[in-house]
Amino acid sequence: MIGITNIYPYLPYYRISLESINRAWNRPAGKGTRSISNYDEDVITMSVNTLSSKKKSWDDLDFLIHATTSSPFVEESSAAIISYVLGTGADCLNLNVNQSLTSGTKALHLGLQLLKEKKKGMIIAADRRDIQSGEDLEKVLGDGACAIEIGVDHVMAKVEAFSSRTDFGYDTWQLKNEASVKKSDDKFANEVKIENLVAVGKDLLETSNLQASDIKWVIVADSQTKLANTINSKLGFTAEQHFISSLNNEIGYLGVSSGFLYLNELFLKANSGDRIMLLQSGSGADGYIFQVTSNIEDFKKENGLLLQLSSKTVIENYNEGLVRRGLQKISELKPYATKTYMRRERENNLRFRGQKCGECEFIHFPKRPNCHLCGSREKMEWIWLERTGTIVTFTHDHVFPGDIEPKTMAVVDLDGGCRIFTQMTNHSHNQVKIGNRVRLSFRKLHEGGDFPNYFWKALPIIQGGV
Amino acid sequence: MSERVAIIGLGATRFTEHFDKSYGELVEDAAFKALKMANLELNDIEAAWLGTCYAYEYGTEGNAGTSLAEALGIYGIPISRVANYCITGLDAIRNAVYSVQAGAFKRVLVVGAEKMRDVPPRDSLVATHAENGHPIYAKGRTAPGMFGIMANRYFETYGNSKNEMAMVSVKNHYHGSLNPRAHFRGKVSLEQVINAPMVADPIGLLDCTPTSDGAAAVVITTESEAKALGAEYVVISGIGVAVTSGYFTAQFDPNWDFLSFQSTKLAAQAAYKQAGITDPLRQIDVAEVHDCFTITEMINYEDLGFCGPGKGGTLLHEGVTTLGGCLPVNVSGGLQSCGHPIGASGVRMVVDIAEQLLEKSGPRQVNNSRIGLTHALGGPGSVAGVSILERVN
Repeated sequence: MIGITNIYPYLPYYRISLESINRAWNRPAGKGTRSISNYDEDVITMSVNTLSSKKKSWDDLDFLIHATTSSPFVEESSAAIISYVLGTGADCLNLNVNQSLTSGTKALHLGLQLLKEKKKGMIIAADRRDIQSGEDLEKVLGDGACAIEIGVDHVMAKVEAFSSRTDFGYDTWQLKNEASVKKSDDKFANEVKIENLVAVGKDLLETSNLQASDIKWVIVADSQTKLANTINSKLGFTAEQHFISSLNNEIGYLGVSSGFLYLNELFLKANSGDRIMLLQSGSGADGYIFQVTSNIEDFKKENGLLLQLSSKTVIENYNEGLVRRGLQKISELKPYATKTYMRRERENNLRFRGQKCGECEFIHFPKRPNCHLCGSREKMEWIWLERTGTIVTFTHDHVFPGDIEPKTMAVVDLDGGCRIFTQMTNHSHNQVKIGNRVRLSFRKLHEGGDFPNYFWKALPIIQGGV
Repeated sequence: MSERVAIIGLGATRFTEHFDKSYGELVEDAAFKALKMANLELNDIEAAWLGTCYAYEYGTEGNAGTSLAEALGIYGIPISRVANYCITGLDAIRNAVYSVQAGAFKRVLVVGAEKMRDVPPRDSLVATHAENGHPIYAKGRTAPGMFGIMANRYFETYGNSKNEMAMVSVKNHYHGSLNPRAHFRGKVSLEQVINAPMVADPIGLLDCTPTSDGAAAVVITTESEAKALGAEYVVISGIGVAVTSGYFTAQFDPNWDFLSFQSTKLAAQAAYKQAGITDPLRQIDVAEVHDCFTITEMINYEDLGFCGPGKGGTLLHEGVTTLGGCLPVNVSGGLQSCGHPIGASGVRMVVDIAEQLLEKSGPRQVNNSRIGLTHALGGPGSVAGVSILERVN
């Protein structure tokens, strides 16, 4: 059987309250929060972090598809970078499906086709869309990522039908050199959306030979509940079948990753045999009918969505939110960096691997040609370092220039050996104490050399283990 | 044992913001002061060493012996540039000492110089690592940060010592108020130090050395030559340097306790052995130690054997290291008041201690000092140097 075998969400730790956005622009308060990525996150780091704490080496993947509208690159494969960091083999096929809100659903379709010849793949959808401060969409959009693993073994949801319809995008768009997503007239855009989504929904029922009543839930991956109501009634679904996500209120609409996240949310409630219809618009529309299998129970036990939803810090100050998201910088750091160093040190800095001395077992980071402890020049073996550890000492440095000040630096003893000295992120100062536990997260350090330079930062392990 | 080495010439510019002076002018000023005291001409110098740590960071000077030759107009002799983080100046002296001890040269000149304030402080040493350091491991590190992590570990182990750190600053600023060559001539109070803006927790602004320009120079010869010249002199009875780790990887070493500097201990061990120092607190009369940050001075006391581990604060409370105490430390005002033009500091300390031994220190004179110590510490504490100077007669 071919289908979805797991889902791994990644939600940034910070939220901004709608009230603070509206207060900044003298609008009525409003309720809810939006997820905002930290200043050191982009769609590549968020995509890596959907999987980085689950296991270190994803060398069993045959392909990895990255779906986003907001890659930091116009040229260069974000999927290739993510694949490398995740430790896939060099023969892991990397693909990018970009530039439409249906990139995720299209990438999933592509992946399912690849499974005819391959065994296991990952589709990672992520978005961090840029909005001009004060624009309407600022109240709607959030940042995040979600990975869907597909394969032939241990399928938790099989695909019963897929339908796709091509049209222009009339709703939102962003030009290459512009700093903000643009939006057209809502009423007009919705009319086109409804036309495409209803057509796709009808086609799904027709090709699968199913009635509306055979579907347990239908999800319209859109920020507007009203729009979903209209579409559902046109397709003959009842109010009970209409799945209203809590995500829009908590984290906002997460672009390409939203459909996968709604699916994750719904799978947590679903039971074996349930059929789910997912509808997503964007340059036309895509739709799926999934049927859940009994393997869904294993997924429910280990899925991290609810924990990530509850682990957060809500920012109540609009300007702090802009600084936090990296839209306003105190000082910009563009230091020396070259592609040569990036490649030479890729095992250390991107994969976070160390070297173990074959003689005395001392573990080194970064790599070196001889053992720091016993001097042996023989048998240095690459190993994956643990991504959890304990703070040995720290400082909050007010002098180092960069997006956010002060910068907290910590010496961390990793579980399983090895010590590193790195920046902290996602923390408040009272969470940084000698002896406190931390976890490493893949982050962007700067854009020296005119490319993003990534490394691993320590963040506090707070209650719940996120 | 080869013949003892003597210092016969001492010279230093004031350490301050020399906005109107170039690197070369500072070098020239210090060098000719030292030559004047030694009563020598430029032509008498047979070899020279230039200590500058960060050439090319603030212009294109100080990267080679040529920068000294050009500034003085001294050509045709061997001149080398030495760079070894904050011990640069002391290490330049060490190299000069060996050349004299080896009999290669009789009269040599050492100049330490750094021009840091042609740019704002944050564009100087901070920018060196932020901009030009390792693209990954240097990011987030600064000098105060690397000592901030030590202070936090020190507090965790021995109890909160913010007050004792402040006492170092108060003491050294008081000493500096007596030194016309110091960058800061003002005194500070305990409250001012404790309430100063944070730089790298728990290190505040008045726990830090300022960013300064300056140069210092010494003329070195053999003891017999010093006598033949009829010069006033002190002898260098011990000098040691130790490098104990790399720069970026120092904090990656799981065996470091962040409570002391092995480099200082090893450098002191070597210098003490040569000079016959077995009880430093009693035998040494006056010392200049590397107080880049106040916590560093406390740790230095412990590493140099002035007191036991965690007891640095006790020496401060007892007034042992204040002018009038039994081992006054940083009577010049230290790096805290003098400032720290990196390559110059190691030489400046030797100038200050030699002046003490020759009773030329005016209102900050430590009476009857016979044996003095200088100590420099560099990088993240991974390189250190110690010298012992002695008065003759």
